[in-house]
Amino acid sequence: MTRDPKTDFELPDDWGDEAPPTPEELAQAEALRLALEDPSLSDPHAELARAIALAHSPKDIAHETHERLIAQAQLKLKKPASGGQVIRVAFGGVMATLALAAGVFLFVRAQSTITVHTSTGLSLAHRRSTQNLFSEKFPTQGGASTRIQRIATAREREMRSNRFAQWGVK
Amino acid sequence: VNRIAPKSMKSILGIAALVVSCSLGGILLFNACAGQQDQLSNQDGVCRCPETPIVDPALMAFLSRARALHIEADVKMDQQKPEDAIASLRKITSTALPPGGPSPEAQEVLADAHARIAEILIPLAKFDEARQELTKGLGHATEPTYFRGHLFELQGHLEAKRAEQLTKDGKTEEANKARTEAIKASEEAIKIQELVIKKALEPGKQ
Repeated sequence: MTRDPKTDFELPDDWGDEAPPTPEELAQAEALRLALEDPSLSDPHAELARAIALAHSPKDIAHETHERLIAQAQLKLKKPASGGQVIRVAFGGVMATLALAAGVFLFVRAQSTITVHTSTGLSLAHRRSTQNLFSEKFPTQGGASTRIQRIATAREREMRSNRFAQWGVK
Repeated sequence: VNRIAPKSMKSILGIAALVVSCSLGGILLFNACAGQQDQLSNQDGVCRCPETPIVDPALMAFLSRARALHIEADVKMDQQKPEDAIASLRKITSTALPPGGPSPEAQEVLADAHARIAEILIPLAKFDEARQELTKGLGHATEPTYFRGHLFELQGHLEAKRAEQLTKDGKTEEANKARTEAIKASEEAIKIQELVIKKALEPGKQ
């Protein structure tokens, strides 16, 4: 048996079928040993080894660690509040954008409706005299009910046509 | 305060952005509608003049109400209740014109309602009241139409009936004056009706 001067490991004289450890392997082994002795040292292999050991035989956590974990958890609980704030602001922004987009959409749609009316000849019936609904003079007596009936019927028809035209229905 | 202020500021900014965007959207929409009105076109009820309103629900509400009140007056006349019929018709004449701008058809409906009230009043020998109705009707029918012609025709009828009454009462001179008025009004009615026919026969008209 020989002793490694850097790590003070006892090394066998005969390695059999195995190759003797390289200096890097010896350095890694030493780092793992130190990390296992001092948990504050960061080493992935040491953390894995500790996790396996704790899984096999768990120990009570230190009071300080316990307090630290609770503090971390509480910190995480506070985050949704600021997240909610962000959501509110984001919601406001999204709604504002949607409102603006809706305005632009309606503006464009109205403009295109005008185009349809002017380009296709679809037009609207306007208020005007009802004279052309009557082809002869009124009787001296009576007939007023018939006249208002004719006027209202004609304008009802026109109002329906206007609505269809405004909706863009040909 | 230092922690809350930035959050409040964010909220305020968000709300402000929302309000500004909504306002902008509203302005865009308003302009679109206004632009649409400006670009309408006009041919016999199909108008290019933006100041003439379209046939819309406000006008229809006015016309439908007038139609219903005329029907009500018909029923009351059938029941031999001319005063009640007049009350129904006066609901038309006291109605405000439909909103949204000028409405020649509403004016004509008002003129015709006044004419009908006068028609009912004349057989009741309420000549002065009937004359007032005809005058009001003429205020609504200012263009040469059958509506205006009808009002003058009724005025002639009124004066003729008044002449009859005056003759019965032995007031010959006043009766003669009433007859003269009757002829004058009838001639005016004929003149208007001829104008309407002439206008209707113009090229491009019905």
